[in-house]
Amino acid sequence: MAEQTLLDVVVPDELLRTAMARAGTEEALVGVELMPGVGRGAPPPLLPLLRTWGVAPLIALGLAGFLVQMVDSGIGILGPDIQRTFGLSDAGLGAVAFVSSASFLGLGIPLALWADRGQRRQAAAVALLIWALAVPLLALAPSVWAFTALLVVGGLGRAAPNSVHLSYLADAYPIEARARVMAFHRAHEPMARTLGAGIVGAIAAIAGGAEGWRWAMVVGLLGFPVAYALTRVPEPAKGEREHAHVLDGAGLADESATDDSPPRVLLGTAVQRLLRIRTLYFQFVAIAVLGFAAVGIPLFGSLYLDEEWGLDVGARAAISVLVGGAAFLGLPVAGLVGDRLFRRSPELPLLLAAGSLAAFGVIYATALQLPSLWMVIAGFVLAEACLAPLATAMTQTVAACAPPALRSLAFALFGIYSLVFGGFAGGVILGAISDARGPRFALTLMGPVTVIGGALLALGSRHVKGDITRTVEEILEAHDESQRQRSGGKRHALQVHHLDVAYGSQQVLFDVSLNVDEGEVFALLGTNGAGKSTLLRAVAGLQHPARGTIRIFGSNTTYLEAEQLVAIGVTMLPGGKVTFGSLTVDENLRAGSFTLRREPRLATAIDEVYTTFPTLAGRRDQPAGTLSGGEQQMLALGRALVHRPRLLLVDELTLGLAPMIVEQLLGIVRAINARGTTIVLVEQSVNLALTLADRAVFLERGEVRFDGSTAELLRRHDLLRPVFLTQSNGAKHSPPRRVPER
Amino acid sequence: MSIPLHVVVQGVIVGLTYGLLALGLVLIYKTSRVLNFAHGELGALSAVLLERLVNDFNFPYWPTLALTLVTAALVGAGTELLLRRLFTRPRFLVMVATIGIAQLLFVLSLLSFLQPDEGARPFPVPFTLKGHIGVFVLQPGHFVILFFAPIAALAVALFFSLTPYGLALRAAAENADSARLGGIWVRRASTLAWAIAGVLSAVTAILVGPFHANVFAQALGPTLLVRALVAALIGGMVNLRVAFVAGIGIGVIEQVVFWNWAEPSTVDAVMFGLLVGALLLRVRTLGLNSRTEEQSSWQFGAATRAKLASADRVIVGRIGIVVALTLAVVLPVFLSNARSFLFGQIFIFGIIAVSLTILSGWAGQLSLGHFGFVAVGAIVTARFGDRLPLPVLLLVAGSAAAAVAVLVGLPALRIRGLYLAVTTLGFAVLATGWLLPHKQLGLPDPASQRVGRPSLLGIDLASERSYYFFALALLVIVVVVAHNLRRSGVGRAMIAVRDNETAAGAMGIRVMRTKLTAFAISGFLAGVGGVAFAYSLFRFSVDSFDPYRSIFVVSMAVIGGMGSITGAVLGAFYLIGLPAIFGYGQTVDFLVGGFGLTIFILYLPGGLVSMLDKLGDGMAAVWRGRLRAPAK
Repeated sequence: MAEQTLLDVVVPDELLRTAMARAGTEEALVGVELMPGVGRGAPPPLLPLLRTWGVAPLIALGLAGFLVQMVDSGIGILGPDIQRTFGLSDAGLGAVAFVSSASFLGLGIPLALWADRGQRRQAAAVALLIWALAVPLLALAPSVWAFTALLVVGGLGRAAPNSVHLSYLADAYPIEARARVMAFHRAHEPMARTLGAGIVGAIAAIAGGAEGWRWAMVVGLLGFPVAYALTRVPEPAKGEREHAHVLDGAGLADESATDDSPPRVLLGTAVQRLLRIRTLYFQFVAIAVLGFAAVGIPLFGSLYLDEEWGLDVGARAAISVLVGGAAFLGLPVAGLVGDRLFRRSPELPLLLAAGSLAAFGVIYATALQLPSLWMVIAGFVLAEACLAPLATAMTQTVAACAPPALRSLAFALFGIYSLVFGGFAGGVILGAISDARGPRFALTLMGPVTVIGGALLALGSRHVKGDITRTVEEILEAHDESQRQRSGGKRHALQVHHLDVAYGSQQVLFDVSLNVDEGEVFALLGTNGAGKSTLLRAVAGLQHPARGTIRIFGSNTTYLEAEQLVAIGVTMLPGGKVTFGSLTVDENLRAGSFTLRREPRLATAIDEVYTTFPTLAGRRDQPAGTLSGGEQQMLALGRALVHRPRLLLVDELTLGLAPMIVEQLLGIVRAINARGTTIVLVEQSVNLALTLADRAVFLERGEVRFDGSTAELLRRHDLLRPVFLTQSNGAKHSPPRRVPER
Repeated sequence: MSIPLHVVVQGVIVGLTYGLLALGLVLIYKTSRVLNFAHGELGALSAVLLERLVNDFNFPYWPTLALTLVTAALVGAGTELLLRRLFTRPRFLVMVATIGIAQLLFVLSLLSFLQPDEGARPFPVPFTLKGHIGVFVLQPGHFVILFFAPIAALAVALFFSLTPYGLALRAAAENADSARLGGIWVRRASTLAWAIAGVLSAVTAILVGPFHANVFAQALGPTLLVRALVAALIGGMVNLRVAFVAGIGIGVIEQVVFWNWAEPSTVDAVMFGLLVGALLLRVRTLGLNSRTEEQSSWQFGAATRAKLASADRVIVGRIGIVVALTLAVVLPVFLSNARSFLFGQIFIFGIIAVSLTILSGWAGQLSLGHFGFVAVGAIVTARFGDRLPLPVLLLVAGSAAAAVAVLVGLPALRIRGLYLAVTTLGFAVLATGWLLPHKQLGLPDPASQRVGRPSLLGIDLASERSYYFFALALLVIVVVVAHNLRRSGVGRAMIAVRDNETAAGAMGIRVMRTKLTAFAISGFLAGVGGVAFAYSLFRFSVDSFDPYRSIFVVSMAVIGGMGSITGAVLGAFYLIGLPAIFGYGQTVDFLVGGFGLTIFILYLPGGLVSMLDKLGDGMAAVWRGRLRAPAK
């Protein structure tokens, strides 16, 4: 599968444009009334809502964020003292800062993963607890190594506010108030930078001396009570708000329809899934631009103030506090406006973010050129105020577009993108430009760069509705399924709902749905290139869909990997040459059952295969590549059987084999089915499929054209004749193929 | 010829390290189907670290060794994680990416705080034994190799044949989908394989540490790489045991040849002979292997565009060409003499990159030794430059290079893909090791060859500005020739042969002739480039044609965009032009060095030309919108 590059997404090719146009049409989107958080009139006022849902979580999380950020800013201020204590050079201090921020980004991912799989209050509390243990110990650090190590451990606490907290808040409070809640939470940051840093500085000053900074670390102890408070807040279910809204809007009863035991989606798969969500993709790229500014401005902004205006350290620090305080100005506005816009139409906040980002850069770049220092500072303040709506609007959009169960990870990825990609560019490239042309020129570049970032966000806003639609569809699907199970519906071995699969920009399956009952033999028929194998691959976990749900024995396996599915009894016999040619027959069977390598029943299972296929037993130590085509296929089938699968997917079992062998294999397939294994098979030969299968689906160009019993399919000459001439009773010329109506 | 015992022992010792390197190459090739140019560098960091920690910080040997081996495993695994997103792309691209990573790791191992203190003690060894066989004194380092290299090799072999993880790795390498369906975590298996390769590389680096003044700098330079590759190829790139034993054999042969003839150039020639011999032999026995899978996965060709360019798009493209040409013509007005020289180099490397594009991009014959053909052009210039008028010289040099290219291409009739690439790499080593210094065939003065620039049509080319225009004109001619070639029947035949040899043959294309034609044309243009290159330098030596230059040209073609003429020129512009415009500095080195190459391949696998194409498409769309909007 070709991964898409940024270029392909921003400037889509023909195929992608058509696909996007399809996805953007009205019928592809759910009604606005179903979109969570959208509605008429002004959003409800915040205070009554807070009274209903409790203000404690918001306060506790805000305090946690404040504490963590306070110590962080404090260490920044106390940097020179710390440097003196440990006898560090400037570069040494920089290295410590780098290691600590790298750790905070690195730890952010596992923390987010934990929060997404378990309880967020727990993750937040534990992260803060570890932080609260590490920070007071900083006071006792005997060497710079111990100091850095403690900072790294404490990084866990720093990671939480920007991922776990946001995910929690998104579920804990109504969607109508999300921007305001997020803005309130975000206020901890400027508070900590100004007030918090002041407190830390004051403690250090009162304690006095070169080692005064050690006393300031005592504030870390405050983390314990806050961490305790965090364990007491209620834990909302993931996606609870969206769920309630959608079911309410669709007029369905909300009987908590969450999966009983959702299987764990792996990190790599989850990241891949998030990157496929277009809105998020655009935001990730745009945030890199912001990271460019976030790293570049502190580094070269003070260089600019120093070189252009001759300001000393104290004056520069004062300016940074003044400018940092400007964030207060933006926050309340950001919250109010964000909620209003989202209520009107969910893509508007992202457009607001786009405008804010561009405005920030343009104002900042203009301010650099102004003739008086006061005007420059005023410009900086104004620019900083633009950042508040940007942050809340992006948070809001991520919360709306990312699957609720992956929100923490989505937020954590933002940090990575912003600091790794943006920071790298901000540090290295701006540094080079600054060396060559001076800091003013380098910083002025921020203007055009943020305009590009804004444009990317604006482009991304086109996808917001489509991405929310996916979330809504998933909620509805989960609800339907739980209703069906509760009302005693038949248990299905396999359910596929509205599946879209694409390789790069080439979409192969369009809205495919089907059900396979437990214990039946089900055939997938269709023309060449209809997407039969792709469908099997998606079910087996070899390929992940762009849209839709796959359920196996009732549980959602859409984003599970093939390696995981084997363990729950799903295995596939892929088409083509699938044995391990240079391995012996015996090794093939053992490698094919890697998951069972420690289980005692493996030996008996392998022996059973040899009894089923006596030809293989005689060739145990022969390389599989030397077997005949039929024997290889037997080996492949045997390899699948070692697992004793509950659901067996078979792709083109008999292609190119002699009739005798085909008969033999068919007998075995029937026997497997008789033992209770559900079988889904892809076949070219309709006759063959019909002798085996009870029901079938007929695919054409990635769409389901027929779904029903095989006997019924036999009467559908319109479908079969153009494809399988054998069915046409001697007709030489097939009628022109029908163009499917789309 | 005499073969005293101590020469054999010496050969075995050297050969053991070749064997270990070959094991690493085979391991990665087996599991990832990648020719890993970074193999030597994966462990270089560990060797440096070991020396630094044990000698300068007095760490105990064995725990430190364990630590450095873990480091190497992490470096290996990290490399795999970085390269993973390329594994579905053409293998060739991954190979070039490993070249970038090799440079990156090399720079890392040079970091100042890793470097051992000046006048430090010798490289640490776990025990000190001494002895001698005849005149050959066995150092402690020799004993260490004799003990530990076989142990390391045995460990790898046992891991593969006895443990379930070894089985899982082998299965994953054979058929990834089937392995996944059996519950083998293929991606983790691949990471594991690279981690093992990292450890293996570190072991090799630590074993040879005592014999390198500057630890493992350029560990796996082309010369060493060719030896390890010959061993790996004798093992068919899959058989660990054969590869290891072959490595020892090669070491012995090398030492024996060296003992009897004492000429490094002879050794290089023998190695090349061995290489071609091993390949042709392997083709006969394992022929199937190279024909089925190698063919598809080692392709160099650019992805075809979805449809033909519209009229608007063609106009936009032409405007672009005109603008670029105008800029190129006007530019020298603003340039100093020295800068003109650098910009002239862009055009010269552009010519060489275009010639590579024809051979590798169109005919699908991957060449890692293109600078060898350039060297032939330079030799002709050095020998006949003062006697022939320039146009005649260009023809003669081109023809000579074409003839050599056809000779090098002869094995291509039997072997392809990776194996051919290895042959051409061997040729690049041969060109510097044997051809250029050769008394009768090479440069008259290999250490410092002078050439005086001639005049053309009454214009003296001695000034850098006039030479700039000469190079530009030559590039334009080459581009026009290449462009027309692509549209001719010969060009189409090349593409057909690249895409499917069997089908092309069935359609009546003479496959062999087409391949050799590609070699001839490409060699001719490279020879022409060689003349321009030689004259531009005034004075050059064997080192000007270092095999690394060949790889540099390949990275040029990749950065620009594989298989595209525009891409080749763009790549030259990026790799030569960026430093020419901004001057060599930290950032520029970073961007044009291993880091830039890696980032480019990872995030812009279509090359610069894909960006330009998109830009053109966008402009054409805007253009069309403007023109048609009123009509609606």
